[in-house]
Amino acid sequence: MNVSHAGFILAAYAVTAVVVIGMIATLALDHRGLKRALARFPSRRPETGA
Amino acid sequence: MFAYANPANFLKYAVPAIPWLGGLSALLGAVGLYGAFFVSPADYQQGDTVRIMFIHVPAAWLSMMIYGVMAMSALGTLVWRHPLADAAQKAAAPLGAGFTFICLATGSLWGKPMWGAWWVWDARLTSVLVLFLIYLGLIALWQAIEEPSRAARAAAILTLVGVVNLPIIKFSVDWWNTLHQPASVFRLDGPTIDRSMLWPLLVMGLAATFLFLTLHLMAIRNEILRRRLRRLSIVAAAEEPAGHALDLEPGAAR
Repeated sequence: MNVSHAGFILAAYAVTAVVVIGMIATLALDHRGLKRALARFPSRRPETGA
Repeated sequence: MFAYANPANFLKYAVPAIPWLGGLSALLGAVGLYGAFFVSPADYQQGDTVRIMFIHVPAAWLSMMIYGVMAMSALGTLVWRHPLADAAQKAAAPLGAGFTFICLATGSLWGKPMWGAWWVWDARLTSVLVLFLIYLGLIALWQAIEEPSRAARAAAILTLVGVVNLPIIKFSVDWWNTLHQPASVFRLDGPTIDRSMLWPLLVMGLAATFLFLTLHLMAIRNEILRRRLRRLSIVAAAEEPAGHALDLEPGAAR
């Protein structure tokens, strides 16, 4: 397939991938940090957010 | 409905849906990308740069839809003072900023080869930039006010004020002479885009919507856990003598 302006198309999809992966990673790391911080407290009721 | 819309029930019923929604988004995204690159032909004017449309347009739809979700949540915060509404609104703002950034960046990468410019102060582009700045302003507002209930009310009011920008974005291409093309999918007289390009675009739009739902549920879950951590930290600080409070990571309970 002879693609015109391939660099612009590739850059657009790369930017999208970086932002989407960044959002997923930020949320996953935030969740892990919160679970770790909550685990330091005595258990009051079971967590269902795992 | 409100009986079920509380943080405990959210964690119990909505959180298990996260992997299913994420999987559905990935499946639809794969089908949409196949259609975008292997079924949809190059445009007779734009050439292959039309393939940027398959991510630019869904991101643009989401940037407005997410703000709509935030506006409804703002009403829930101000009128019913519902704790889940506030969490949903706060959780949606960074996602809205992310998808609006994708919209602006991919639009710029399409504009350079097609218009010969990375950016023009066109009514559509400018109003979407304003939307991006509103998202950033809301995120900053939540960070600036320490008391969560005050931050929630202030953010809800600012969100509702910002709603005026949504019709400006939507109708900017009709109200002013813009370089940006007018609507070609959601029109009263039907889509003007060819079917071979329309179905991959709609599938990509669905994939993006399910991606947002997945990320939004993840973000609301985090927000509920953050509030639980804050509450437990305050209780622990009140119960423990000075110097014995549990060590927390800086900003973890914010």
